[in-house]
Amino acid sequence: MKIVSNLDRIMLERKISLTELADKIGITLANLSILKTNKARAVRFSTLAALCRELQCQPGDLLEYVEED
Amino acid sequence: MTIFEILVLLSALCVLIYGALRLRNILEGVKLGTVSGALIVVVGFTRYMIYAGVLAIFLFFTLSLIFTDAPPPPLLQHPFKIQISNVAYSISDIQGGTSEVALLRDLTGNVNIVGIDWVILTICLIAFSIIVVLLHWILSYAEQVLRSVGLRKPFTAENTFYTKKIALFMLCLWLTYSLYQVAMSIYLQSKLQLEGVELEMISISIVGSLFVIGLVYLLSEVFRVGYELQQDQSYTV
Repeated sequence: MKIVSNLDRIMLERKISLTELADKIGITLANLSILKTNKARAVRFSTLAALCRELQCQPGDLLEYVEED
Repeated sequence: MTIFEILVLLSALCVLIYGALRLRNILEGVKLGTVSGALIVVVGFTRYMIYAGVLAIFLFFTLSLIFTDAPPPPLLQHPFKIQISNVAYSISDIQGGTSEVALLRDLTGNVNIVGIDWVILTICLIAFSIIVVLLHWILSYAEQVLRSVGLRKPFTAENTFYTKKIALFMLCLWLTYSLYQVAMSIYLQSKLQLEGVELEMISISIVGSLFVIGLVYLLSEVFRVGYELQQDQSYTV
């Protein structure tokens, strides 16, 4: 069981690039890429709040719990 | 110039050349200018002394055995003490020459072992070689760990590996030295038959040595957990 990120799907819907989003929420491109590619081990609430603010969504839209096979 | 003097000069020259080659590595520690840097200097210098010492001993004793007529020095470690009248003496005391020793020599006769005992020489060379190799790896790895600490990046996968290996090699070092003492004592017991004296083998350090080895292993676990925590931190967005 793991948490997966739907950041790439939401970025596509909002038509925003990774670089632009990273600049707006104030984290590095590398860190945002880690989140987008599901390599992140933890997400700060401050980062989650900034993402929801910029992407006009809820935390549940960004993060999804899936059962592993 | 005699062959003996040539051998001494040759040994000294090799030691100096080796020292010059090691100087660069030692100076790295000086540049760091921290406690870790100071320890790197100490470890580097220790390595130099060990290798230089090994080189000098090898050249001096081995070549002197081949090229000179002088009686070779008895390459003999002394795991035994000899107990006479409830007083313990080491074999080196007897072979030495203090006034007490002179009296003891009169009482016990000639207990010197002269000439090359090839069994003892073989045991010494094998144990010595293994110990030098193990010391080389222990000090190399210690230097790597100290270097990374000096650069303020201690929690790496490599340091976990190095400290685990240091603990393992220290264990091997202790085993080698203990086995060497046991082998020597078994052999010497057959060689030294002195009437009226009792040969008592010195004890092998177990608790102290294993405690230190355990501490080093514990340190490797600290590095491992530190590395994992650092990985978690670096993957926190």
